[in-house]
Amino acid sequence: MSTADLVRLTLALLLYAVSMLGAVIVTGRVVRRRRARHDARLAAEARPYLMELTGGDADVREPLRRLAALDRRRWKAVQPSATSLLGKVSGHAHAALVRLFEERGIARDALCDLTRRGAVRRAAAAHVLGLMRHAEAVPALVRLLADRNPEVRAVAARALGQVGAPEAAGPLLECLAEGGRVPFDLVAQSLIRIGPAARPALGRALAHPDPAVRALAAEVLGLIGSVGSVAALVRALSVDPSVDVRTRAARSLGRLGTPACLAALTDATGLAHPQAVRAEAAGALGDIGAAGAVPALRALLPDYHYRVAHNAALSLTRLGPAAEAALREVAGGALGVRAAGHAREALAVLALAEGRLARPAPAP
Amino acid sequence: MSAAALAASGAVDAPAVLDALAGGVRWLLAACSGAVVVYFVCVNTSYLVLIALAAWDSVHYHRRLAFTGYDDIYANPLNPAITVIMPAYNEEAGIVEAVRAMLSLRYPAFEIVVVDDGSRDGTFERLREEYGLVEVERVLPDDIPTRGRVLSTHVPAAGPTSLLVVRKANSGRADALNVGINFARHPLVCMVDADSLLDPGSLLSVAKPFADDPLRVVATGGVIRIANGCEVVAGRVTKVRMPRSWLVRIQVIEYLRAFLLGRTGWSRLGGLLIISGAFGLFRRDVVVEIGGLDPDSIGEDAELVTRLHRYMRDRGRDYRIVFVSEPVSWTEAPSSLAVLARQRRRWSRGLAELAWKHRGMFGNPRYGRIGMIALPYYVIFELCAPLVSVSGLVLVPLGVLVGAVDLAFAGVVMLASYGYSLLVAFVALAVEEYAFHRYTRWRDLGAAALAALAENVGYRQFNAWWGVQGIFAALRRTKQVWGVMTREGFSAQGGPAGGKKR
Repeated sequence: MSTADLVRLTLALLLYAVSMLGAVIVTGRVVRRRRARHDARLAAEARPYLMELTGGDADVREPLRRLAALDRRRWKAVQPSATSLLGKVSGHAHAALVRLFEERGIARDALCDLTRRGAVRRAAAAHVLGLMRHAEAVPALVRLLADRNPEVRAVAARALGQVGAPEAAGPLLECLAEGGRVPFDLVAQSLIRIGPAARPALGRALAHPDPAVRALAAEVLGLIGSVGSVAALVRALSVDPSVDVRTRAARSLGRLGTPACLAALTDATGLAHPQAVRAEAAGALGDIGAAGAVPALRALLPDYHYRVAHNAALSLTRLGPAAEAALREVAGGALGVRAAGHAREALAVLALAEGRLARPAPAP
Repeated sequence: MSAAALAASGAVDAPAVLDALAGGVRWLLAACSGAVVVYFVCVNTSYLVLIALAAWDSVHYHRRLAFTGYDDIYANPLNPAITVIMPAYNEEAGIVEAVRAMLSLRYPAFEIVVVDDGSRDGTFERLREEYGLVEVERVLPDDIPTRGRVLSTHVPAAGPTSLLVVRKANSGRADALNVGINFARHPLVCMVDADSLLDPGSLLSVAKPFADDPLRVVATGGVIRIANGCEVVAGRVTKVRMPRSWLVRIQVIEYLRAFLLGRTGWSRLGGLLIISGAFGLFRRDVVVEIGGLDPDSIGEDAELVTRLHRYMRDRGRDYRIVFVSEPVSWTEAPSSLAVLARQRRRWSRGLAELAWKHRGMFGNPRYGRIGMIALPYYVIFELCAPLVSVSGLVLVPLGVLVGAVDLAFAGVVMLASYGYSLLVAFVALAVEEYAFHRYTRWRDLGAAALAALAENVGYRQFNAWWGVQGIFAALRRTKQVWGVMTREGFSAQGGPAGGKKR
């Protein structure tokens, strides 16, 4: 075969391939649309029963019986809506949906799927069990925190939070050690969902050798309002070797807002502390809202570090008349030009909040 | 001794020397023509590989969609807040709609910073009227050095709308973005164009990789699609339609192949080098560490990403830069040849300048896949493509003219080469249809197929010429000019609404 023949053959093959691709695109579209219409019709038939099931009626036997008896094809069409509802409803509606899922054997199948070979299958199973808040799944979900696939680990961590099992708090915190097997924010959210029951594990975690675990514990203790942990957080703010842990401890103390927090945060604004901690402490003093913080915050306005001075100025906008008076004094130049700029910015924020800045007249 | 000198000395027969010379030229022309064909086979094959990777990525994404937990991102109190930075220069026509659309994005905590880069039209006045802006003093943080002087800062008088408008002296897009980064209060900064229309869930999608892998992800890029012809209501693309102009239709195919699927493929390979300036999300602390955007670069978005790669690899830090293929940011594509030519010259020049500035990374194993694969690919297959293409346009007809290349053979080779390009475009269309199916009308599908065919006739050749002009502009180091970018704006019917952008 000559080169010219080879090129001609190539051209013919290319044209054939393009034509086939065109046919695949058109056929794919036709099939997809037909299937979508069919699924929509089947889902529409079952949807009234789903609404009845989750509508809050005490007697849900009839819609439950109807939905449990749906054949495989019809259930497949309505399952996405049912699963989506499971994550959005609570109380009786959630209990009714869980019953439906159990009657259809979904919980049983999902428990089996947790150990399947395919990562997508394991993750999907963990997702459904989490939405069902299936307490029996907790040991298996805890084991999945060490899964080889990061997506499976993440879904398992989220599911444990949704189940709300206190025994999962320790394993969740351990996930963050040595580089973190699960994202920080996700573990934090799960621990927040577990709530006060996670407090003992979080308290112990403040002494964990891994700084990421300590940082998470410091953050979550503030978010769940653990006032009993103030002393431990104050200690973390003062002596922890990790700047991240100290920063998060400062933020949490601002959220908790006890008198001990005020003293510790005031101290943390001092020059002996790293800049990130000082800036966070300056902001946290505003969260507490105690007028006693005004002198310390006023002294921070000329600070060389923008974030420290800026956070101090914004905190002063939340501390009442004494703070406003301090801002006016500094805006007049009492502490220099730099501090005056921050003070004027803060006064503008106050004026905006109180509607004292006039809206501009409309253009003629 | 040269052939001419030999002939002059009478040592050999002059006609024989000239024949030998002509034979040599013919051989050279034939060899060059062959090389051009091989080059374009390689270019198209590389596209096929990238599209295959993108298709695999899409399957991966859709199989996991059910349990990705987007609602959880929304509910998480530790979710990182975002500052959306929108530089604007003479955007009077669409600025209000753009800001309104941005303010209604679905994300738990974000602020908008509009940087009016010395507009000479009513950009600021339109914003002032719409949002009742009042001037307030803001202390400018000096995290990144900037050039243009900040004239004033403004916020809405009524309520805590998270909008800040910064007025500054004109100093270019990159510097305007640097000013915006300085003013940004949140840990993530999203850079968008003032004429970008974001899908409502865009911020959630581009922020998801930061939530999934917070320690390593430093930047994410969103896909850009063309909004011309689409129906836009209140700053949202509500109906996706193919544009009426064939020039823009061809760009739709080009964006699909190169920007959506090509970049998704590169992201899979860990070699994403370009995040469009029209939609990218970055960790603010890292951008500040590297000194922000380079105001002297005409391709500042790609330069920023390349510098990020360089910085992280130089320090041996583990990091990821990710491309998110859905949802999207919509932008208006040039609808006239003159504007398109300016855009393509700018892109080509930007790539040439980037390659020169970071030439130390080229083929350097220290920079891993970026130095060994991505950067060489961009130089060989993107930057040099216009040069090879224009050479082919000159050499092949010349070869035919001097008898070095057989006309019929050249014709069949050319058709085969166009056929291969068409095949690549159809594969891209097939992936679009199965993974995203944005164009729902049959007529749009037909128009896309025809545009894929038409791309090879004229469009590619003009593109190559503009690319060559851009490369020469970079070599001559002429003054960088962004050029006037005529915008038609968006309207409810997808028709023109007027307005201009620099």
